[in-house]
Amino acid sequence: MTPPPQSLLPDADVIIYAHKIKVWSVLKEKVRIVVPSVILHKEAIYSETDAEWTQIDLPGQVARGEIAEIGATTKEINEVLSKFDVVAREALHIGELEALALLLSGRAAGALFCSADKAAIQSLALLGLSEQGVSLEGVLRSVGLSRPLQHQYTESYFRRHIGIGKERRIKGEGLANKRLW
Amino acid sequence: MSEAAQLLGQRIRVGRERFGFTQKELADRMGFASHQIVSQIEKGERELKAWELAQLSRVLHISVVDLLSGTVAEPEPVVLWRKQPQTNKSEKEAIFLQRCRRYHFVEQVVGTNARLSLPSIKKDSLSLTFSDVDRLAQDLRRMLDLGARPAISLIPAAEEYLGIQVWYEDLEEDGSGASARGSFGCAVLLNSAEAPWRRNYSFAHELFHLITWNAISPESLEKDRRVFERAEHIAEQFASVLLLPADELLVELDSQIKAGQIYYDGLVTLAREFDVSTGALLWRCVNLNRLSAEAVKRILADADFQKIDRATMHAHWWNPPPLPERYVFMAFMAYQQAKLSRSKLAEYLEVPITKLTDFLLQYGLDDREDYQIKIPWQSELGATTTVEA
Repeated sequence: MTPPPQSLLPDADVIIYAHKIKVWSVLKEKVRIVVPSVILHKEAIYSETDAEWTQIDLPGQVARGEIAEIGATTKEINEVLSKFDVVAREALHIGELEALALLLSGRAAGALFCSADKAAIQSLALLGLSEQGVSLEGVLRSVGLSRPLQHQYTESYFRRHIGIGKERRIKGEGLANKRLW
Repeated sequence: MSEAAQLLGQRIRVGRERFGFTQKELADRMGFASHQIVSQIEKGERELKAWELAQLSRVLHISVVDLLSGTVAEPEPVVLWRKQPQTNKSEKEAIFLQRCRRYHFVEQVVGTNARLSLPSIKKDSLSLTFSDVDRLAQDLRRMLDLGARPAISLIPAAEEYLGIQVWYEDLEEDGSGASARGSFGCAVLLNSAEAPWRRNYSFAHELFHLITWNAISPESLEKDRRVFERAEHIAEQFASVLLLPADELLVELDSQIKAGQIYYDGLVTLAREFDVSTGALLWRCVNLNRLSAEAVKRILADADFQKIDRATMHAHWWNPPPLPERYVFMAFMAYQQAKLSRSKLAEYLEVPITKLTDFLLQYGLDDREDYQIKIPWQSELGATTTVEA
């Protein structure tokens, strides 16, 4: 079994879904979770349980030391944007850009970006950071949890879009300066 | 203090001044403790955190990408209002223009292009004759193949064939609509609170402004009251001719005449059938020499006529969706093609990410489905190819 990541950098959808399938608490115990500042401060995210939406109190969890906040600077965001062409630049939400910026700058060393979004996963590979990403299924498995998941949270979905991202990187699709090899 | 931070500061200052915000007002909207923080940011002396950048992008209605890499003093396209907004004009325009840019982006990435070009005219409003306007309206009706009831298909045809963006917003006291032309193409903003038949007319009116955008510049319309009034008058004439073709209308009017008289309910039925207001129909009758202006004023003021008119409205009333269907579809296609992330799609569709699925379902779209499933396909020659669904 693959060991759990040192820390996990989840995107908003993963946080919401992990709450929905009731694995967030276990994840928090087993893995250090660092949440990008944009998600923490600017996204009012809710979880759907028993057909009711309740707000997820991420700032409260940070205050209690259950999860940590991590924030990128404007310079780091700019660095990520400079790698992409005009279309790829517009594809991502600032929360996703922040996560990628933290990985690219090395300030989130050891953290794995956990996303279920094809554009974000492909962008990870486009930046040459394929090894710094993980599917929710992969993380759950690494901490000994197994759940039936929606397809976009599965390992196969993640791998498929990492593959597409790698292919795009080779072709230079989405990159500001096309690679020559 | 880096050059990038200084440039970002300048863009923030320009964005703030566009809305007429003081540094204190922006600080309040940002939740900063003091206006000095804004001052430091604008001077490039304080680096912004990512979440502050996200907040600024929302407050100033400028995308993060434009904040970080846009041109500092790029002039904003002019928005031509039929009636100038009494409050928050700059903010209303900024929201409208940001939507237009997003619409254009998704059009570009999914590869849709207007199939026809909007006609243009060179004469200015003061030298345009009514026969010029008649000809223009008739040509456009033919070009878009609008048929005998043009109002019914005008907006969808303009969206599809001319690539005109059509947005709806409850404009309350700010009139019937506005139009804009920019790098994003042509766009019209209509008042969603108005009756559908009023919106059709407003759209035709705004279409005239888009056609004459270069001949009668929005700047001249804003500066010169005489030019503005003349242009408005001609735009009304254009809308009337476009939506109420003389040949079709006269045939229908004749069919309603019984013993040399026409009944109120006949007129109202015709208005609903042509999808225009009763006022627009009656004034077109004046234009076609079938009624006098005095008679029209009398009819419109008659309580019985108003009662019949009102009674038919409910069955023909419809409210536009919160965002244009075409825009939502294209944004969704961009998402499917991984050109927009799900969070970005939610931002484009102006809904919280947790409400995105429900919002899309209203448009018949389901983001829980994977449309990228590949299946092996055996071709006739025996070679295996792959098909993407």
